[in-house]
Amino acid sequence: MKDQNYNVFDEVSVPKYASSQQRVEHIYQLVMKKAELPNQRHMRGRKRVLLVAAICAVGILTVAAGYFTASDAFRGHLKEPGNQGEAVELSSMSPLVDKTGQVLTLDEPVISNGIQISPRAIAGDDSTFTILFDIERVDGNPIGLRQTDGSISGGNLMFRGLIPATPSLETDNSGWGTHTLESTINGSKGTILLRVDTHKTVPMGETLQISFKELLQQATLPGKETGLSAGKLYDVLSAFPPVSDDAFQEAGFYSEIGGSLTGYTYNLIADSEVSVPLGGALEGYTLTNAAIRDGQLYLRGYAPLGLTLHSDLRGCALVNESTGTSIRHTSIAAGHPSEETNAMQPWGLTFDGVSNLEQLREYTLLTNHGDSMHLLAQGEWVFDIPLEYEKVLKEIPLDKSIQMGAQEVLLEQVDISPYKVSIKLIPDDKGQEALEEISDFISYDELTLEMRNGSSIELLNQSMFFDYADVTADPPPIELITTIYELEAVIDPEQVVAFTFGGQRYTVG
Amino acid sequence: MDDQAIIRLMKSKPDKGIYEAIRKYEGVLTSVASKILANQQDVEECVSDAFVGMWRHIDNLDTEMGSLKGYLICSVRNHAINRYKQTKRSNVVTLTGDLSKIAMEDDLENQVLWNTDVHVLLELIRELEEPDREIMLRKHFLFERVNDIAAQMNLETNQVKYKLQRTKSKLREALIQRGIAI
Repeated sequence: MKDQNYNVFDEVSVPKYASSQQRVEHIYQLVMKKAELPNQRHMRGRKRVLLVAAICAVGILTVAAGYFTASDAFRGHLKEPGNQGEAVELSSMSPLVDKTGQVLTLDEPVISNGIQISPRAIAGDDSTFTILFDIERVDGNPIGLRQTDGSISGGNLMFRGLIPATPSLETDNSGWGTHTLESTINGSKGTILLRVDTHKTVPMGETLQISFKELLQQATLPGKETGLSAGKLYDVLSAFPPVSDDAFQEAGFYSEIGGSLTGYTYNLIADSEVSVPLGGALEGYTLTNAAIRDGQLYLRGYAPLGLTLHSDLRGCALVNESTGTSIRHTSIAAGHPSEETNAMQPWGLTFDGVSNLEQLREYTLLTNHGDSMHLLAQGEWVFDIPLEYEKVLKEIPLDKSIQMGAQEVLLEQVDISPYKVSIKLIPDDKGQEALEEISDFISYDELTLEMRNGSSIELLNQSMFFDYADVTADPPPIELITTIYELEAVIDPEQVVAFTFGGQRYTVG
Repeated sequence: MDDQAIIRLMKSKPDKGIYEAIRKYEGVLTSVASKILANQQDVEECVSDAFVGMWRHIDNLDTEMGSLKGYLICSVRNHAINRYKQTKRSNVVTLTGDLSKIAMEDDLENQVLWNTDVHVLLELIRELEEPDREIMLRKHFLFERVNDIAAQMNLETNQVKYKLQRTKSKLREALIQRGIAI
């Protein structure tokens, strides 16, 4: 049927009968029933439909074939804003999710090493994708790890070796970000809600390829918080035995800054030095070069078990961006831990530095136990997902010059989709130092969306992408910063009436 | 989802493609079929038949065709007309308000238009100038009333009536030239 005459209807607006989801599903059932009538001319297509029906009946791929709409598939996983702006369960009728998402079906289940993984549904825009995967152990045994006491761990599932790509566009997979939003385990079954971000847009109709090689479980032991007085930051780690050779521990502290720092709106700690004086490797160790916001200092570091962590902050300076004044710590005043009391020897935490402890009213040392990653299955799961949903994106070109710390930046464009807000920034100074300052500013600056119903949504930056003008230069000059704010609830972009970014409020027409 | 994406999906995952097509066009097709048939069950049968027909022609569906909407409208129109004729013969049809109007206007040209092959008819309509083309489509494919057509197209009712009469005469001549007996 190549009758171009059907195009005569393209320009004619046709009144639609007021339809409903129920009615659509009723017609669908009628069609499916009729489509299964014997018809030799169309056996190929009919077999496909029958295959899906058969799979559905025996429950192998119920996740794929059992949902009519994306909102059905995502119910219980995606949220939507309630009356007060808080995230609530996705309601039974979520046209926006249906429009911007699709149910995924597989012709055949993908099983590797006894683990079947099936993408159930995808929702997103052209650069952010939320994909719900169903996972099942085909032998029916519990999917979680069996612990030493015989119980099954309900810890988090995650993928490793995950690569998103768009093969047809021949783009590399750099500049993609992925993380697990949630995961659940129930007996032999589990789910993973995966979030994939890129700042390179993928045109609708293209195929998004997701592949990964390992399914992991992160076993979580209970953490512990201990309130300590200044200078005594140590022996609290002793309560947590190591859980495996590759476990790591995390330690950190929050502190509230005293009155002398009141009014500091944006401060940097610079020149921190981290070392492991007992000669261990620094593998896996990070210390956030943290900012102070609202009088609170946050540092965090983690290292493999068996190493003593030494954080030397003697060179750190707290700098008041607005006045240019700084406080530099010049002497050591903190004590040392008693390693004999540490059951996890030779693990210990040494904290040297921050001379004027009187400025720090209260410490709370946080310890996160050793998160242990366990391999559940290896294999190669590859899924080609054609993007067949509708892109909903409110694009707001601004081209306004704004100040971020000492840096002047052009706020080029803000894009609001149901799933994220992305902001494009062009720095005036293309150097790396400027980039770091802008990055720090963005990291701790809230983006606030004001909704038509009077509620507001406050967002923290989730990820940043950098485009360089010349990647061969050393260091390469930065051209464009794209910063992404992930939305906890699916919003209608048309309901956003204003937003505040970098301390400046912008109304949305 | 646009038509080409639906057609591609129909070819790779028929059940999902059918579902997407229903989501997009069920309202339009029900609107067309309801103008001809009074019984809601008959309407649903015709609408579902149109989608089944689309699925059965999956291998011939051409993305260059461009308009799934046009194809489905013509299909549901044919199904509804056939069902109307069957029920009329068996004297169990109940005329809707719209259908009463159609029956009253069921002159010779209308009979011809109802019985002419849809492809021939579309080809002739395609050659018409606007607004005659849209008026004919609305009248003889979407079964809209003259008053509604006039309102939709910002025309006077008499203008629409006049244009319909004139266009049907033109079509009649064109059909004769093609050797189609009326």
